[in-house]
Amino acid sequence: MHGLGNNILTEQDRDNICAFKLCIMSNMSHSVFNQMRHTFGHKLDISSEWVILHRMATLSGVEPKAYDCCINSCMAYTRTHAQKQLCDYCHENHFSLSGKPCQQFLYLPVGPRLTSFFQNKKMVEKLSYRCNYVSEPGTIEDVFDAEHYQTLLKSKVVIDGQEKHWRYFSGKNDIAFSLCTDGYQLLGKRRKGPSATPIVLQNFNLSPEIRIKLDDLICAGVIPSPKPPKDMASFLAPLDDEYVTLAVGLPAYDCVAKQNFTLHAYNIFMEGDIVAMEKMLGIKGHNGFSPCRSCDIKGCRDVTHGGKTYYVPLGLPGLKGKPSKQWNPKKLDKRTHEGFADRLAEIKQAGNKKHAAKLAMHYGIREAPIFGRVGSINYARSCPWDWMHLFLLNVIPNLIDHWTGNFKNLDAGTGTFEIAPQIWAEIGEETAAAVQNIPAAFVRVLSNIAEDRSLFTAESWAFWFMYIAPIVMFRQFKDPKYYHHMCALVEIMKITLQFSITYEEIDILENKIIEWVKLYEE
Amino acid sequence: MLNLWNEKLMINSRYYYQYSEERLSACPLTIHGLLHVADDIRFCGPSWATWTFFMERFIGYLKPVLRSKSQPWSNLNEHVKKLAYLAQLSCHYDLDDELSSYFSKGPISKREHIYDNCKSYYLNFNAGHYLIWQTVNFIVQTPLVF
Repeated sequence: MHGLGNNILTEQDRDNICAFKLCIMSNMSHSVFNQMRHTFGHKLDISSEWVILHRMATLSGVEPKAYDCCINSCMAYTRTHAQKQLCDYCHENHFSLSGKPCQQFLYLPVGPRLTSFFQNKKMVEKLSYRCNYVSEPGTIEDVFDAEHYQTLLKSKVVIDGQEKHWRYFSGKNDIAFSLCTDGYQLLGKRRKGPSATPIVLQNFNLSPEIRIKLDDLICAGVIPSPKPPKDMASFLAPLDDEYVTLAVGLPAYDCVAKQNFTLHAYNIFMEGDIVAMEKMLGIKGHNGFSPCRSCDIKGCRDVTHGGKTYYVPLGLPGLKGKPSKQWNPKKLDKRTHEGFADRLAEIKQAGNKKHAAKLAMHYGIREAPIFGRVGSINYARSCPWDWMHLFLLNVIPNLIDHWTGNFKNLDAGTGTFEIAPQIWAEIGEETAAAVQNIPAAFVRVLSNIAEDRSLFTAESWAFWFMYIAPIVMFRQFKDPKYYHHMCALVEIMKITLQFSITYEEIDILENKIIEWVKLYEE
Repeated sequence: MLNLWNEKLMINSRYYYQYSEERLSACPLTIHGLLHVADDIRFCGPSWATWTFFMERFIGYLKPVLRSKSQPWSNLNEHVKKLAYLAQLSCHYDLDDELSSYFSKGPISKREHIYDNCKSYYLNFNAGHYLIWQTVNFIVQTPLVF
C-alpha cells in the first residue's frame, strides 16, 4: 500500500468518493441521491449507493467490530461477559429467539486510523505540532507545558503493571490524545427518551486551532442507550485493550521521512461532565458522602429535615450563621492515583459485606476505574473539571436561580440578593436588545434571558455573564456586595480563559476562587 | 439614622448558603469543583485545552443525522462508520482537496480587504457598511453591520 496513493484510484472512484462525501455531510436521502445521479447522468457516472458503500469499505480498509450488548444497554458482552446468555442487570436475553444478538455496539478501531495519518504528507506536517512545540518556562500555553505531560515524558511506559524499557512520547511521531464521552437525548430534550453516548478522541498532536474540528475528531463508536449504560467498562473494554496495542506500538510508514517506524499513542486525559467522569472512574455519585473525584472532602446533609443528599460546603452548618467546623480549602486531602487502587484493595479485603459497603461509602469508590491497563492516566488528577459544564451549565444558571428566587425552593434567607421580577424582566429585554449591535463573530443572537432561558446555550451563558451581566446587573441588587461578588466570578472566568497563563497567575487565580467560594457560603 | 440603617442592612444581608442547615442545597458539588480548577490547569493544561465544547459540536452534528426512529442506534452506527471511511480515504489517497470541508475563497474583489494580522477573515466594504466574512471556513458567519 505504501506510497501507492492515488495510482489505484480510477476517475470514477474519485467521483464516487466526492458523491459519498456530499451524501454523508448533507445527510441526503436515497431519493435525492438518485435524483442527483439522474440529473448529472450526462456528465458524471456516479454508482449506486450500495455499490459506493461497498467500494468505500474496501478502499478505506476500516474494519469495524460489532460487539453484542444488552437490549437495554446495561452492559456489552465483552471480556468476561462474552459467553453470558442473560444481562447481569436487567436479565434480558443476550440473543433473540432467532438466534441473533438483540442489540449491537459497533466499535471502530482507532489504531489503523492513527497509522494511516502518516500516509498523508499534509497530515504528517500537522501532526508534528507536538514534536515541534517549544515550551516557554513559567507559563502554561498548552497541555504539553502542564505537569502531567511533563511527568510522563520522564517516566517509562507501564502496561498491565509492568514497566517497559521506553518512555512515554519518546518517538517524534507519538500521539497524545484525550477521550471524551457525553450522553445526549436523541429526540428533543425529554429526559427519559432514548439517548446515545458517542466516544470521541481528541488528538493533541494537532495544533489547537484544528484539533477541535469535526474532520479531525476521531469517533470510536456510539454506545446505544435506551437507558444509561450501567457497566460502562464493558463498552469501553475494546478501547482499553486497544490502548495496550497503541502503547506497545503499531508498525507504520512515514511518507515524508520515507521509512517504517513504530507508532505509539497514549491517552492522557479523560474529559466529560461530572456524571461521565463518575462512570469512568468507578466512583460513587455526586450526591454521595465522598462525592469529589479530586479530593477527600466529606459531605453533610440536612439531618433535621430528613435530607438524603450530601452537600459539600467548606463550612459545616452552625448556629447564628456561623460555621461549626471548616475545611481548609488550601489543605484539602487530594486523592492520589495509588489511593484508588489501595482503597479498592481495602474494600475487597473487608471481612463482611456491611463493612465493605461502609468503606465504599466512606471513600466514595464503587469499582475499579475503566482504563486500567496502560499507566498514562492519573486517576486522581488527569480528569480535569470541565470548564464549560462547571461554569456555564451549573454555577451561572444556579446563581441566576438564586437571584430570581427559583433555586430549589430556597428563599433568600437573611440575604437580599433577590431581584424583583419587573427588574429581571427589564434585564431580559436589555439583554435581547444589546446583541443587535454586536458583530456575529463575537456571539450569536441572545434571547430574552428572563423569558427564554431554555434557548441559552453554554456559549450564550458565557457571553452574557462575562460581557453583558456586569453592565445590565449594575446597581440592580439592593446591596452592591452581590454585584461585586458576581464581578469577582467574571474575573475568575476571564483568567481561566487566557490562552497562556503563568504560574503566578494560577496562584492568584486559586486564591481568588477560594475567596469567592468562601463569600458564596457566608 | 440612615447610616445606622445601612449598617444594620450590611450585617444582616448574607450571601447564598449562610451556614444554615436548611440552605445546604446551595452548595452542590459544582461549587466545590471550582476549588479544583486552578490545580487542573497546573496538572492538565489551560481550561480551553481540556474543555468539551468539541463534544457538543460533535453531538450537534450527529443530532440531525438521525433518520430512523425505530432503529436509531443502527442508523448512528452506520453514520459514524461512514465518517471513519471518509477520514481513512482522505489519508490513504491524498484526497484532502476534494474532501476538505473548507474551501478557500477565490481572488478578493476591490471592495474587500484582508489584513495581514488577521488572515482568516476578510473585511467587505459594501454599500456603506462593513461586513466581516471568514475566508476559509465553510460555515460562513452571518454578516453584521457596525
